Amino acid sequence: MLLLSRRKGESLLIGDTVEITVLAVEGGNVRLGIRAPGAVPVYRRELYEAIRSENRDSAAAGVEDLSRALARRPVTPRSAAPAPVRRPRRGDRPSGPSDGPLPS
Amino acid sequence: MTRRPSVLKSTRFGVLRPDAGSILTLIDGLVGFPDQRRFLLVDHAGREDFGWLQSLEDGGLAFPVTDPRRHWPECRYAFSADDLRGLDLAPGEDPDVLVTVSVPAGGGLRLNLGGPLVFNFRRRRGRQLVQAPGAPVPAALPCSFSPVEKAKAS
Repeated sequence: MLLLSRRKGESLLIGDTVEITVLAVEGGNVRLGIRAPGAVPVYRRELYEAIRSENRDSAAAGVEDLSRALARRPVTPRSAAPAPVRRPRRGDRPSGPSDGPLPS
Repeated sequence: MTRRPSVLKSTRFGVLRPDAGSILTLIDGLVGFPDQRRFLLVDHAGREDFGWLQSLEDGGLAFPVTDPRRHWPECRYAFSADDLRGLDLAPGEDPDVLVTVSVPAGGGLRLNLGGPLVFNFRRRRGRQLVQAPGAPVPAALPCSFSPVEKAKAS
């Protein structure tokens, strides 16, 4: 791990496009300003890890697991939701890379 | 140019033959699964309120999903323009929203409200977001990762 010391107002550059600036240091808190291209997502680590953990738990479910959990739950009527799930329809055309063949 | 037919052997749903027009692309992959970008939305048998995002890269990988607004009509997310970047939504057009669902061993369901999947189904493009703390979901809807849905199976 690279270790660096920075003072308030000083920055780090990661490559040519990501800049992290120390805006304030107060007690145990460091306030950072991050400038990055939109294509570079920036996450709070604990939130990212929580979402990742939820996704992994979700991927562990089988069809029978979900059916069992839903067994006594009535289907939520579509009318209850202001914006129900709208499934893609066959007539909708894809765009971009989504219309390529499956990898072999 | 003739595209070769696409066939996926999935562990949950058997052989799937998605046509190009049914494939959803998650621009950045799923959080924790960055290489999984192409999916098929498969119905959960007998349930129109739950489905599965089946990976087209890995036949053994699928995620139960649902629209949280079907269960909590008051559910609101406030997405920034950056959140919706690359979805090709028309000005003022709202994204469709799904969340992944997990099935805890102790029963019930858990909805991943903190990591909504936003889609433009018309363009078949989507992205999973990592919502900032205090993201505007209704107070009655915990946006933490604790169980928020306890449909008891027994």
